[in-house]
Amino acid sequence: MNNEEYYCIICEKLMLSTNENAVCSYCKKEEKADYVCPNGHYVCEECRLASGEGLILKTCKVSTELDPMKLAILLMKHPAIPMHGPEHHYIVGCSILLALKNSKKFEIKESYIEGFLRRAKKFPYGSCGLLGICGAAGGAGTAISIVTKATMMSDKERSFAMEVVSESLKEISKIGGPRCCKASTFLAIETTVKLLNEKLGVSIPIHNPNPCKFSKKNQECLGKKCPYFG
Amino acid sequence: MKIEWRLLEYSEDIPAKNLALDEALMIASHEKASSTTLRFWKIASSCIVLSCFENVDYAINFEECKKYGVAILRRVSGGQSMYIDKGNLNFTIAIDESFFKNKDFVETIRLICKCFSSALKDFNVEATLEPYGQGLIINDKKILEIGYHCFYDQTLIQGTVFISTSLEVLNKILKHKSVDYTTLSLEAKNAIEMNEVKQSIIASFKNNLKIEFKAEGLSAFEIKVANKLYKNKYGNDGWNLKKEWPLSWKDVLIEVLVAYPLTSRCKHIVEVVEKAIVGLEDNVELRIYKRGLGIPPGVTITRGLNQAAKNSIIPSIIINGELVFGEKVPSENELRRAIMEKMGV
Repeated sequence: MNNEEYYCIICEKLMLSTNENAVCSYCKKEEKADYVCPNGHYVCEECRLASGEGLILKTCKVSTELDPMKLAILLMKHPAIPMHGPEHHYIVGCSILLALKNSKKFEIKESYIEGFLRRAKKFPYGSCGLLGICGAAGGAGTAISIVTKATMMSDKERSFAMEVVSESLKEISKIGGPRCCKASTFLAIETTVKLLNEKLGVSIPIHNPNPCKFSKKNQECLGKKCPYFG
Repeated sequence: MKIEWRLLEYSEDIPAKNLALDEALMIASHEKASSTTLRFWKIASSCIVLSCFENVDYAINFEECKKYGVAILRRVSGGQSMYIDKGNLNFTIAIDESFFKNKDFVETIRLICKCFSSALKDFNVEATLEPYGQGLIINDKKILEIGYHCFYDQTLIQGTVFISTSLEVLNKILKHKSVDYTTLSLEAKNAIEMNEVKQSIIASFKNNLKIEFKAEGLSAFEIKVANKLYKNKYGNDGWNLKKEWPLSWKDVLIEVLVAYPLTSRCKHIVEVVEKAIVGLEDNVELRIYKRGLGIPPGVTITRGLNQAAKNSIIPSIIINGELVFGEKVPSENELRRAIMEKMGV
């Protein structure tokens, strides 16, 4: 087991054994590494053992990423994030909040991310089919609600949070099922970024996730029905 | 290029032991203790062999089974129930992934089924593959039943040819038939000898897939595995009637969940487990799962593994489906004691 080959979880290249220090691609901690990929990717021991939620929090505390899609994809490549599951609800909102924080267009405190996670946990696993509300869309709306400080008493802020959810849901519902949490994440982020630009004039760079890097591992991949399949 | 397969003609008197042996062939091939095998077997009595997913109450008529003395058994493969009596020629193919290399799985299954359909042509019977690959059909009637099971790098094919089967009993036993059944003797309008069918099948595999057969008996390992499987699984009502799937063919299953790539703590836990089971290899099955790399085909996810994975308890040791050591690395002695306890020693 000690002489096994490992492939980078981020770029899939064969990892090389090393004794040098390396910086974790997730939490940015520098430590003595065991395996580093030729593209310099390294995952520290703590991040390898982290839970999905723990990994998202650790990464969001230090990431300087401006593109929410790139951050979401990086997080989804980690083994702590299953192919489908509520972690995607958190990824959508955290990626949006972090992109807005790093763009310096809004004041996003560290506590906002923790607050977001507390709220986003209210969307249960399978909420898309069971409640008619995909948690990825709900996560996007929650992030907007936090950014705009919306409450049930608010006017435009409340409407905007709901518009983000309803537009995201509309896009997600168009592709049909069975559910794909990756596609829902992509669609919710794209829709939110588009609406932020249209409604608030906030421009956020966004990477095109097409073709989807997860389709081969997804046993229930929608194939050609999905706009990201290729 | 010619491929060599083992030809095994071996039947157990107790019907359930034949099903235990089928799974033993697959396990032996996975452990590299035997090669790809084509096995023929028959029984003197009658039984209904449920697929691994079917419910007894749904699939069969219990009272009729009692009336006709039909034993209720279950096989490891999927598909539909198979009624088997002395008029059936039963076959098993335990095949490893090297045969499928660079080939489409479904296409390979089609090729194998084609070997059976061309064998039936020797008796002037033109049978075609059922759309879902679960048998051969002639005039909308099933003449051959087949089921598949994937396990790690292995595929087990279990099937039966209805040669002179009692269709009267079959029709009374099976509750939900998607098609009617027929026999080779009926279709050929002639009494067909089982040995003739066997020889035609062998010749067809030789011609169509360029396979050379080498007649060989069972290995000591296969006998050992089959006996254990019969004792723990196929000889029990828990499996046959209630689908209670034993966690392992051995006495104790140890699952270790580690990170990918392994951390220093994960490497340490694996070393401890490997040392703790020295001398217990016949009783203990060890499975090491790396988070994010998935579960091999045919392997059941235990409650403890599910709990460890969902809560990111890594590394962790699960014994017989129960999460016993989470995150903390036990000493070799601690672990060995826990294993012995599960073995009832």
